[in-house]
Amino acid sequence: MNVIELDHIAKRYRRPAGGRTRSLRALAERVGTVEHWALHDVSFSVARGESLALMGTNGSGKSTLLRIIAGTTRATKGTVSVRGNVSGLLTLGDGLQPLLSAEENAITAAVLSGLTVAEARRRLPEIAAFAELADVMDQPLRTFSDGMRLRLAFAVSVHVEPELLLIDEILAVGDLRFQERCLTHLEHLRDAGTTLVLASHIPSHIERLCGRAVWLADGRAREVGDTAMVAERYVDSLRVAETAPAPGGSQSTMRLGDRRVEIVALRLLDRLDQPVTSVTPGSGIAVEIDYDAHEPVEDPILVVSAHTAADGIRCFDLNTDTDGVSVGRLEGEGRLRLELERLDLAHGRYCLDVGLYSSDWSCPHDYQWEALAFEVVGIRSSAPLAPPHRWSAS
Amino acid sequence: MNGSALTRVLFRTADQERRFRYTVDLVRHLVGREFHLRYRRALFGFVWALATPLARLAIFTFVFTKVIPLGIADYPVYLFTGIVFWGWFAGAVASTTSCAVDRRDLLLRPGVPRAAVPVVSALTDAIDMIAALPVLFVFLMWGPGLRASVLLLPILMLMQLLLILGLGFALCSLNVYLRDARLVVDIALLLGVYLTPVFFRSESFPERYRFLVQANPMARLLIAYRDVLVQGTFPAPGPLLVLGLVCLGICAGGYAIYAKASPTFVDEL
Repeated sequence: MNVIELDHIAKRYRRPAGGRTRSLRALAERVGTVEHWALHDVSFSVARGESLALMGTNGSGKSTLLRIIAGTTRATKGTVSVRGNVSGLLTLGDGLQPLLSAEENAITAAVLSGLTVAEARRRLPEIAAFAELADVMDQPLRTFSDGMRLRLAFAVSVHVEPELLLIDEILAVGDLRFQERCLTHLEHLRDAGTTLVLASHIPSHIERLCGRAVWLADGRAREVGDTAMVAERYVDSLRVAETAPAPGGSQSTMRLGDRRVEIVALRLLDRLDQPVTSVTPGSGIAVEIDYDAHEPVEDPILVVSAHTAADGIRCFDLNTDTDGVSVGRLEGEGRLRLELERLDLAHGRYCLDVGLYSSDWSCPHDYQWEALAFEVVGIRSSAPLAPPHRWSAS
Repeated sequence: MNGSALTRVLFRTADQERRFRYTVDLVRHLVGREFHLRYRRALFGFVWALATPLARLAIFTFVFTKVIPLGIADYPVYLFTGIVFWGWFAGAVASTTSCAVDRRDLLLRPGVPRAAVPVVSALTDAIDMIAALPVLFVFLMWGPGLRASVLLLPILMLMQLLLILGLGFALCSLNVYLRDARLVVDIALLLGVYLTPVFFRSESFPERYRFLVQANPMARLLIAYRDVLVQGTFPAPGPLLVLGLVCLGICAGGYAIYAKASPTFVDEL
């Protein structure tokens, strides 16, 4: 039996031009309305107990689609049928009251997610335990850090026993250990028969939780199908978009970005944290970046990649997004660090590219090609990789 | 009362019944929470809830008994009745008008019935009125005395709630599409306090303007409140029934507008 059935749905937004709010003045000045189709002709269904991922860049229509499924807005065209009670992590922490205690806020959040007050009170110990906040539930919420609020909000929304759980991009926040607990809990819910719809940018989360995926691009369902296949095509499409502005074969340092955060210094360090310009194969190194955030930036993505200096062959390409790591809020000056346990590269010169992207990859803050060059002194090879090896004959 | 027989009449399915019970629970919880927020932290909680109406009472009693004597018997009670119930009306209509904009977070929750949002707003503003009721009763016992007609008070309050909800549902829908609505409502309420017999008797209106009172359900409600509380008489049942039906009609009309407009509110907020 299908919990969600979407049949050729489309969504049109109409807003006064120029970002104005609707008012008599807008009417009097005859500010026209702008039409924007956020979704076109999207159809799919989700069976009971199935979990579906929504992938796509910002503005691709994921949030609109989740709102339509949640019933908080209505599709302009097409038919939508959703069965069962819906709980959503769509607006995390909205409606929380900093002056009231965490306990009172948790009860309100549970009631808003569909429990009666009595049910909410019964589940409270479970919720507090999951959020690891049992000792501080009587404290006012204003004393909580963002991470604690998030844990509380997440704990509530997964403990209301929803038949259909909608999650919008929130798993990326919180520390890694709690993230892992959330993922495990979602797996349990899924296995117990909860239907899950998850909008996320993080391929590893999607592949772990969801059997099927929908890739939305400009409001259209580009691909619907097996997660691994859809995720691969989605990630491929990003890669093309990402490398497109790269200078073709240029050896000079190039920078790109809005510079909301600037990378002001970059160092390559050895095991003893000493700056180095040459390393031996198999040794561990660290890349350290000093940044200066001219304005606060939420959770940017840090990218570090290396290629050979001679012919630009990529050796590795790491970023915090695919690793599911949250950089957090950057404000003022600070330092970021990537540690590589070992670097099994062949003898030769290499270049590092580093960059900070906005949390949804939509724009680079500061991306520097060939920001740093270094040398590997070791085995000569025609290929960049020189794995540790031993020959033998018998 | 036989609960199961009643629920069988009210709800066709168990799901509807659950939904209704949930909505009642939700509204009660949210109103209770607002109450806590408003008064728990203030040192004298309820005292502050009463401060504004009592200050109004003092100044208007002075003005209309000493400066411009109106010659109304038991004027403080007469006036306080007007202030308390007009205060609820004005506060609730104003806050309900902007409730969709103010409580966007509730409209974004999948499980929350949209109609609950203005209801919470209207009931939250009833808190001040309810806090003032004991004081009103003290005034009554002191002056004209409490009579059996006071039993009609809950019915009048229910009628006023229907009137507030009807206007609130409609104005809140309008305010989503035209943010000026709230400003217009504020001005209308400012004028309304003088076109409704809050401070003076409706008989003080010249004959040719009397229709303003007659066409104003809130004016008629205030007259009924005073019959019941100050005069201690039962209002004529016929006109009271008509007034009740008018309030119910306004509520149904307002709800129809809200039900039509609210599914796409979040797109405009």
